[in-house]
Amino acid sequence: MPPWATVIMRNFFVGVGRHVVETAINTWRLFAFSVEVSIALGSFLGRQGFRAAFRVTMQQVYFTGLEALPFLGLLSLLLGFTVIAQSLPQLQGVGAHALIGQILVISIVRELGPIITAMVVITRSGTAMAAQMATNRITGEVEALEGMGIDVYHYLVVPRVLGCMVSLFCMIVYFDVIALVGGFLVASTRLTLPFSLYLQYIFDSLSPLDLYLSLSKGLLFGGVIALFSCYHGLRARRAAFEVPMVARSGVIQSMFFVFVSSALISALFYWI
Amino acid sequence: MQATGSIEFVDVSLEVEGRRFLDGVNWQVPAGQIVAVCGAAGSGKSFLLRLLQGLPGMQKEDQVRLWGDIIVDGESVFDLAEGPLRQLRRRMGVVMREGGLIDNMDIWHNITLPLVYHDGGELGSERIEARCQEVTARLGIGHLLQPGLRPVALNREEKLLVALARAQVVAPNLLLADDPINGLSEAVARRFVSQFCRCPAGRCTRVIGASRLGPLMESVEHFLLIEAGKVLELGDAEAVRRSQHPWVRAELGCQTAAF
Repeated sequence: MPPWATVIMRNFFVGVGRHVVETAINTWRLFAFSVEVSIALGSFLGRQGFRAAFRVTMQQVYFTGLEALPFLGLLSLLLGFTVIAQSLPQLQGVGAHALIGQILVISIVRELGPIITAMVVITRSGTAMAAQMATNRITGEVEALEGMGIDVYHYLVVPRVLGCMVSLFCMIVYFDVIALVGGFLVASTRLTLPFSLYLQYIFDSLSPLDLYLSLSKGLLFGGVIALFSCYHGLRARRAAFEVPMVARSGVIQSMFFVFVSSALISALFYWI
Repeated sequence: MQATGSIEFVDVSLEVEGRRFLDGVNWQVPAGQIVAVCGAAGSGKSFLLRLLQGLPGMQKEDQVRLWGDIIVDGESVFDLAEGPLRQLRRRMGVVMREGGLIDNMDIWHNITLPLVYHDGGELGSERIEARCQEVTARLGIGHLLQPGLRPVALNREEKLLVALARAQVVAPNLLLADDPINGLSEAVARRFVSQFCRCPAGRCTRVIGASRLGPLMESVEHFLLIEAGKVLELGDAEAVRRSQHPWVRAELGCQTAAF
């Protein structure tokens, strides 16, 4: 092997090795962070600090959930409208318009509802949370809190995790309902379908497992998005240039988790 | 054990990311004393104060090496687990260089945060409110308690006074300030130092880090100088005025210069 090829090979394996080691270290840190948050979560309802932390939780529900409702509503209405507008002509062609219930349940309730809602939360709140945590760290707010004897996990992280879980859970319900209304708007114009029949199609196709999994995804995605965002935000050290970097890391990891876990859940419950 | 606010550094050395900030520091402060830790920027004053609180804000990635022992109120700070360390920090009030206020909270919530967070029901809303009113009235910042007023609307002196109110509202045994007067005009700095030294609890120990001497001379009882990682005892204000140390001479010579 010529010397230049040896150098390229060596650099390649050194690079891969370094990347593997860094990934392992980061995974371990994230695991340790999750354990700390879980411990703080266990003591969340304890009397000390609950009042102050509950206030932060409510603020998080407001910013993540309530403030996103108009945008999410428009998004879900258009999605329900589009899904039915695209599939109804095909169904009518084969006289299978009764399947619109199944199409809505499979596409929106099972998959798109949780994923699109999670994307909205990641882009609106995940980035904001990571940036805010990083700024808190850089401007010394985290140090000030620790200096006052306040548990940062209990006061900053747990309320955001809980707030995001509650918000995403409710937002998925809201998304599904509005998307189904959007679907009805199309279906009623093309098929002169009464609302009661439309609802019957939906409920005939909707199993308890669909609802259970869809809402469980809300809790899971909400918790993980907040956890990843806070983890990356709090890893910022001293410089302002780290703020966009940690926000980006939080977004990428959250998106990766949402898509992979969604695919795994679908494979586990509907395919295998 | 009776909490008093006494401090003892026993042969303390500190190295952060390969740079040595403190080198074999031995230092003792009796309860109730007002002490200034002076020194040029980067001399290690902030680390000395942060060590008293068990280095809050440090992360595992920060390469910190520490030797010796620090005893506050008879407890070794670095022997304490996370829970007892938080208990110790509750008995301290801290004013950071820029105040360290929480920007997305109004002034009222900033000041009452440590009380509200640590209140297990013994205090209650009315007593918390009364305590906050009392401290802010004494510091002359009662007018800042209007709902919705956030730290972003305050000037630096007001931010520092709000931070001082937040530190005093818990009736601490130990009141710390990390170079708050850096960048303040002489008159404002003097006013702040005098407020800082007037401890409502009576016997609380006060330690102020400063990179200037002038504004401290009237209010502080005992002076220390940090230089090259070592702590030099300067004594009281009279001893400081007599000191021949070049940094002290330079500081006292230009003490009237305002920023």
